[in-house]
Amino acid sequence: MVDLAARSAFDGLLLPIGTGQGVTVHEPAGLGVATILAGPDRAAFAARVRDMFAATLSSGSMHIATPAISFLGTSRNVWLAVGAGGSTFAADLARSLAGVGEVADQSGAYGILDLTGPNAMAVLAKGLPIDLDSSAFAEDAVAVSHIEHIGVIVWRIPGGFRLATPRSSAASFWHWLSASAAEYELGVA
Amino acid sequence: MRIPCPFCGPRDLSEFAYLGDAAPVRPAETSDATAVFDYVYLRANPAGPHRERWYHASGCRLWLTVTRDTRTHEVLFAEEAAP
Ligand SMILES: [Zn+2]
Repeated sequence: MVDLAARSAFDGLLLPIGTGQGVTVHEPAGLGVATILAGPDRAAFAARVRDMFAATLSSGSMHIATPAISFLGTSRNVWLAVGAGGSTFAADLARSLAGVGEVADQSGAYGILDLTGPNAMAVLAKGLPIDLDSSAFAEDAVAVSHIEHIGVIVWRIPGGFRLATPRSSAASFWHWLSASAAEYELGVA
Repeated sequence: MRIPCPFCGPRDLSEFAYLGDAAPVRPAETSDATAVFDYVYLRANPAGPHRERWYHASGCRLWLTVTRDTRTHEVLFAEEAAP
């Protein structure tokens, strides 16, 4: 029997290139990730989300943040939920939405990175075909897109951006990020 | 070229996959071989507005019906494809 130990998606990959002066990357620990698909009774789904999370999930590519969970609109009636709770996050969410929506655990499917600093936007501009300027990418915006053919979901956090990207491509994504951010003294926090 | 996805907003061409003409409708199972041949192989080639299916593969993963001018590549309209 093989013993499996929990490892984060970017474990062992994030090596600093510079001082962190222009941009810093950080892999937040202990997050759970899940997809939510609203059931056919949209009114019941909306009411349950209001009762359980005090949130209104409008349909659109928007980030609705509650103290516990970030709900990211990724498609029609589909959200990516990210929050603390690690391995029990998705099961807790599924219990909360039982009967009104479907929840699938994605904690092992995505790696999460926070990119902050004055040059974070300039780094992403090298690979992401999305205008992240505040005039085009609002405070509550979410973009499902790609960087170097690798899927990525992007939203704002204080001082920068949070990225969710497929765990199995973490090494390739890091290769792109470290090369693209080197000129800005990429640091690791 | 950018496509205005009704869910995601205006997005770069690289995020989409092209299927083709939105007009052909699968013939009934009782149709003869000529109707099936037409459905599979025959396409109009208009110079001007053309309704076509695009898949937002790297975005919301919705199928869209896009009206594009084949002479200029101007995208005139994009909507979710009917299920
Ligand atoms: Zn889209």
